[in-house]
Amino acid sequence: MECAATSSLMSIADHVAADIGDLDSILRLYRPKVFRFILASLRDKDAAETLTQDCFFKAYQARDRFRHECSLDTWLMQIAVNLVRDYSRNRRLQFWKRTQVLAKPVQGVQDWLSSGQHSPEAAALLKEEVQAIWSAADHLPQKQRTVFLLRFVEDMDLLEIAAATGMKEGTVKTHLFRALQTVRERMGGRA
Amino acid sequence: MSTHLTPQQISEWILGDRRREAELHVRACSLCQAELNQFEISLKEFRSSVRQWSEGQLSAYFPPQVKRNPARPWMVGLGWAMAIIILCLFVGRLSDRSGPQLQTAATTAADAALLTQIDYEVSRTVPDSMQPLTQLVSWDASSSTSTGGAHASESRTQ
Repeated sequence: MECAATSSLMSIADHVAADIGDLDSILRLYRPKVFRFILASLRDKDAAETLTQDCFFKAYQARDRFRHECSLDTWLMQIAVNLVRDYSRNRRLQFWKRTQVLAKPVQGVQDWLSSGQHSPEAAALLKEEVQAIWSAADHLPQKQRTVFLLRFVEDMDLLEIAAATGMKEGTVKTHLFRALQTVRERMGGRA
Repeated sequence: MSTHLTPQQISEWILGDRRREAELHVRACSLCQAELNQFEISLKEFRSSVRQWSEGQLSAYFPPQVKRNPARPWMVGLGWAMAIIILCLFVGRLSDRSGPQLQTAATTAADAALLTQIDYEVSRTVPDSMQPLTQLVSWDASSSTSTGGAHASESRTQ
């Protein structure tokens, strides 16, 4: 239900921002999502901020090449995925990235639990599990982490993930399956 | 299917790949049902936590814009009054400046006249007392030979 509502909202947003030259509307609609994906992938606020700006700058520069074969949302995520991949591959930055992360530890997501309807015991258990998923996602290989975040944070379906990552649907499914297995193992599920 | 769901089957279930035998087992097995529910709830909470966490980070970077109160009529009037007062002060100051400017122009003209007179006085080659003599004698070369020579011969003959 929530997913259907989100996708219909996105399609409306696509119509609103049909003119990709209208950068203000696009930024207002999609910046939170792009920023969230990059931040969850890199866990570095400064890098996420920079890459989010790069993403929209690249999209604006390449607006003539956008042929509406996929939604604007998916197209932006495709650029974001490429930026994250390039950033992670850049080995020259590894040392500085490590230094930055050590200097400014990112607060864990477990402190942002939304549900207030759980009992204290259930909330504590959930907090532990969310922390375990967050930690497990950090240790996943790059591709598995990307598809995991796109599926379980951005709520994208397999076809959308395939379009955003440039993988085949079957490959996406395989990466997702492996990622889920690893996460479940880390959570202490039945082996 | 007598045994519980395998980790692979649980992952497949979560990804939406639900086979008939797994469905039948889940309906019958409360343990597997509970485990699937708990995993789904955890993933859902993970999603909402990441979203809220990201929003928190985003708002820290982009503070919400301060809402401006709509301008009230009396404030608009006050603004116009202030603008008129400032304009009047500016114009008054400009007119004060125009008086000294005129004085300066008059002084410059007088100075120029004085300098012309001084030039004239300085350029004179004979004093005032000898001025009438210059009218009798022309220092022009041609005239000096004719008139000067004539006067000289006249005085000698006399």
